[in-house]
Amino acid sequence: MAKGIWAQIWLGRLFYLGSMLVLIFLSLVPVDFQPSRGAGPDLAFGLTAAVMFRRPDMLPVLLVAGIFLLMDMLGQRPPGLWAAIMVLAFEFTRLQEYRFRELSFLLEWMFVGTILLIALLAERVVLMLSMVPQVGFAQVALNYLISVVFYPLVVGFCVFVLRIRKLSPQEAVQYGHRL
Amino acid sequence: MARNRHRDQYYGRPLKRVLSGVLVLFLLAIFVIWRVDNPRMEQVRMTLIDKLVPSFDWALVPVANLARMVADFQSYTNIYQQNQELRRELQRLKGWREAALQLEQKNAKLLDLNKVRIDPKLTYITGVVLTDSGSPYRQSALINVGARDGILDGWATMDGLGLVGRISGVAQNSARVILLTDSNSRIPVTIQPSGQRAILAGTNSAFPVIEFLEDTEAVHPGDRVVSSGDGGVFPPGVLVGQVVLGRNGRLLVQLAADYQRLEFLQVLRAPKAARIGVSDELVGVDDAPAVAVEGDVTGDATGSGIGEGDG
Repeated sequence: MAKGIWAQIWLGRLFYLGSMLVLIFLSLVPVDFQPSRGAGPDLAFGLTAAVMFRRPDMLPVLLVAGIFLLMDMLGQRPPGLWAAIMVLAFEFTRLQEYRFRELSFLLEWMFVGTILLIALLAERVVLMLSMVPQVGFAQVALNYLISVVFYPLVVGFCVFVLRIRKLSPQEAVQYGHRL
Repeated sequence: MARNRHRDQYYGRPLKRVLSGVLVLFLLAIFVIWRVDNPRMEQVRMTLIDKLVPSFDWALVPVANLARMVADFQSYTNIYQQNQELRRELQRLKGWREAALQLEQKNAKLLDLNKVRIDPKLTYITGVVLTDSGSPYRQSALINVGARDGILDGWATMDGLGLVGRISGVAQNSARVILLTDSNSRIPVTIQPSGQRAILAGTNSAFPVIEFLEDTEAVHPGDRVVSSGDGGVFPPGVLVGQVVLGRNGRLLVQLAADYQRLEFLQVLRAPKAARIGVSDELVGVDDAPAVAVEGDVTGDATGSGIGEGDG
């Protein structure tokens, strides 16, 4: 039994890591260098939040930190800042996750939207205080809205494609000590 | 009950929380180091990218080609219209071709008479574009030539027709090109035919803005914009684009380089590029007295026609 759980957890981690690497890869493919009007949704944040709400045991903090630091490095962003904010945001989500187990998806959606908003504001404040030039507010606001709107789709991907879903109360009791 | 268990698990495991705390501090320390000693951290970043990107180079090319094919397929819808336009354009270009041939012959004769030799320093190295910037808010490209090929920070790159950007960040096998559309890009330009000097500033949109223009009256939409070579950073006379009028009366530039299809970039070897090595020093003043800088600029000016000839 215990072996089965570990295999499941490691498979989940592998799927998560693979999806994140594909996201990074797709962001690097050189197709069109014309600046686009609006940025796409922040799928990396969405997927991490979706997995964190489903199976926090599949997301060790080192994995989250490593992935987001890599994205900072490859995405020409100030290295470390967004990764640090993401680690804080997701560790906070990890602590709150049990409250949302039996609640409707709508509340989870609102929670994720709020976390992303706070994270973006925190990033802007730190960048402003350290006098780093940053992206226009309107662009980021639009990007934020798109990210929040896309969240249910990301959850759908997480549940139906990666097969990472919430444990039923029965299973939770079964592996209780691990959750 | 379940709640209590949770509490026990997370509050009862201080080690995990300490690990998260240490991680956050470590990440913030990276940010602070980047802020304080930017060039060194950017070098670390370039080295990391240099190690990582070639390892999935084999996958990048087919995916990029596939995406381009899809984009091409979408454009089939208006292909008839394009065909008509191209025919008309071809007709006009035939006339130009004739004129160009005549001019070329004339030019060759004059060069022969003058015994002019092209400045051997103003050559270029061609690189293949490897990746995009990886962020919608940064406009840059990674090319597969680097320190190994003698690339230096600050050199200009063009796509064969117009200026594309400037090298910023060189690793052993790759270099990053900051495109003219990036919000950090500022290059000195001259607007022809009025000959006015200005700064071309990227705004993260397709049309960079002309800034610090002395007399806006003398500039009209359609004027040619070329690099001016002020400060000896860029070779002068490289085509940048055309002036267009923005919606709120601002003067913008439509870039000559085809930003939708950047596959190969030419890096122009500049004789003496200003080095940006340390964050707290002035750029381009280290060992060059004012006279030497003056000489540098005129040296560039003799090569101005060649820059265009190469392209």
